[in-house]
This record gives sequence, C-alpha cells and structure tokens, in this order.
Amino acid sequence: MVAEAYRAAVRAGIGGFWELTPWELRIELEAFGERLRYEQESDTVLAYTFALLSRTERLPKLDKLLKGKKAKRNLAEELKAAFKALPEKSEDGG
Amino acid sequence: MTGNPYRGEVTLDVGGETVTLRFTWDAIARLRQALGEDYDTVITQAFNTQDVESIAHVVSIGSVDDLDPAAVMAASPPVIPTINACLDAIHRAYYGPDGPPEALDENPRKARAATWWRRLTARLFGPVSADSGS
Repeated sequence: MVAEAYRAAVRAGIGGFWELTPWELRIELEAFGERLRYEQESDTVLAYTFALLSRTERLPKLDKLLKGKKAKRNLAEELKAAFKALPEKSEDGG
Repeated sequence: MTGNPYRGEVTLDVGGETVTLRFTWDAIARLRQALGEDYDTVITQAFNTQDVESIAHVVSIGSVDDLDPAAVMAASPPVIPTINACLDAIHRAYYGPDGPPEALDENPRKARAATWWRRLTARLFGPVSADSGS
C-alpha cells in the first residue's frame, strides 16, 4: 500500500509525502480530484462556448458575455438606503 | 489523549516526558520494514499479548522525536495506556480525528484502508495493478 500511495501522491504532485498520514494524503487527493474535475468542467464549458460562438453570425459583445450572471445584491447599499428612509429621530426622543 | 487529532497526533507519558506519536507514511514504511509485510497483524498480536518489547518498538517508530526503543523499555511506561495511545494514533493516522467508523469488517484496519484507498486511487487515476509492490 505504501508504494501505491506514493505513486498516487507523485501523480497528483503532492509534496512531503513521507510526513503525511494516510488520512492527510486522502484529504489532499480528494482536493486534487475536486480541482481536476473543476478544471475539466471549465475546459468543457470553454470548448462548448467556442463551438457555440463559432456558429453565430454576429458575435455578442464581450461585456454581455462577461455579465452573463445576475449581479449580486449589495446588502450594504440596501441597508444604507433603508436607514435613510427611516423617519429622523426628533430632539425630544419621540 | 491530546495532540492535534487532524495531524494524527496522540501524546503519551514516557518516563515523565510527553512523547507525541504520529504514524506518517514514513513511520508506516518503517513499521513494515521492521515487522514485515503483515505488520498490522504483528502489532495486533503484540498488543493482545502485551509484548513489551514490540510495543516499545512501535512507540519508538511512531514517536515524532525518534525515541530509542531501549529508552522506551527503560522508562517502562504503563502497558495498557501505551497500547491505547498507539492504537489511537494509528486510528487517527488512517481515519482522521473521528477515528474509525463504528461498523468494521472482520479485519478492520486492513479492509477499510484498502477499500477507501482503492476507491480513491481508482477514481483519480484508474485501477492500480495488484502487482504494484505495495
């Protein structure tokens, strides 16, 4: 099992193998697997987008592509606006 | 049982000094070298029979400060707490801070370790050949 583990660590580019416990190596390999899957998905999306764009007659503007996601709510601004909308406190505390 | 459980550490009192046990791949390789291919069986037998010399050897290999087995023997730590510390350290090394799952197979450590290991490596890199010389 030691040789198998070492081989897996080398393939995944994990350093300091001999100082890791099997559990730590497992965590690192799982993280490596997740990163690998994310990169594969990114490559697929890129290839798909490229293929899609190469079929369109007019390229959409780059800004439009980059702003594809809905903008996140700005909670700080919303809170500020909510406070501004509150009736001002009168001097006599009422 | 203190020490960082995520790092697989367990502390043990040996002759009034606190020794940290941690079974890294280096320690596992050295156990295998010292006790043979079936090192886990040998360790289990040593623990069952309370074989002090073998226990001292395991403590020596597992200690982060590379204690001398003779020094462990000379300090003569209490056997049961020492065995428990070694087992906890081995369990933490293989299964992390929560230790082994409760329901284990007949040969718990070997079976569980082999299962998750094969599943993980097969998922990441494809099946590993059986003659890879573990």
